[in-house]
Amino acid sequence: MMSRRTGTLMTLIVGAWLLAACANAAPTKPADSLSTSGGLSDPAGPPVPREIGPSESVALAYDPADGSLLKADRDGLFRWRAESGWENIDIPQNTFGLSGVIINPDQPRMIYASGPGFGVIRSGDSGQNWQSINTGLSSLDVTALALHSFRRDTLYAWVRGEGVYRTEDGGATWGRMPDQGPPDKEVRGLTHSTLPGSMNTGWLYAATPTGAYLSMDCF
Amino acid sequence: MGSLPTNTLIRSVAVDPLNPQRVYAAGPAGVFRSDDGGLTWEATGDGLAGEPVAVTLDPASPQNVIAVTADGSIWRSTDGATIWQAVEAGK
Repeated sequence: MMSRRTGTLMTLIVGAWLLAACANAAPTKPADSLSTSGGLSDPAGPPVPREIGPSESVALAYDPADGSLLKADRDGLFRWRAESGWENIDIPQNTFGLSGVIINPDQPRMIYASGPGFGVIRSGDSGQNWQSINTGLSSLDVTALALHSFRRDTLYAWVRGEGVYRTEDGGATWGRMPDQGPPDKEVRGLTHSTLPGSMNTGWLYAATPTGAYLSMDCF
Repeated sequence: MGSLPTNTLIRSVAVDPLNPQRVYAAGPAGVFRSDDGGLTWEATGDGLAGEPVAVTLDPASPQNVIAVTADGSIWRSTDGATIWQAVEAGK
């Protein structure tokens, strides 16, 4: 069932998605506030800034533990701090760079990253050690990654040519969702929202080359 | 208020966790803000130069919005993307 508001959103945001399986909602839990100090994972020299091409993905994540910023792009994963600038974070070697980065706001040492041809990786120590968490993904071609707004063990990954996959156990297992995704399948970013009206726990926005799309139903 | 430019590259979407009606979208055309979950949008960017490639926010203080532009510069707004200031210059 779709509300009138949902239908309006679908039209004006450029497009919409199809139905997905549903569960229950709970209140959003915000995280800590900002500061600019804290521990650091392996710096390997600052990145050289360069222009970012139209086909490249770039993702940001704010670290509420110390006010630093993580950036994932074709060149890898970087952390920026006001006092030290950009520093590399070592990740397992990959060829095509990264497409997404997530910090769990309730547990900021827990970081997830994704990349095309690379799948999804997870670190529980602010990026010092990583493990692949790809069980159940049909492909490692992950072009976008999102964290649920309040279920911190639930993440969504967009697998190119496949669709949306979900894990509800922090990445131990993934399963494909019965959702066709936005009309534009070149998804560059996913974001979960608790916008009212969902039959489940929220919605997903997708960033694509042809605009932003809101899922038609629940995630 | 207006609509998001159609057929325009959007690289990144961020949602205010305390007020999910507020949504930000970033792409080469700029950073856009919606206060109705995406029903209508307005361009932000007073003070922001360059092509935004990603946007995020502080989940505990979501009026603090951060964007990165194509040249690697970091921009921060402390008022929900109305006014932007450079934090780190690109090349």
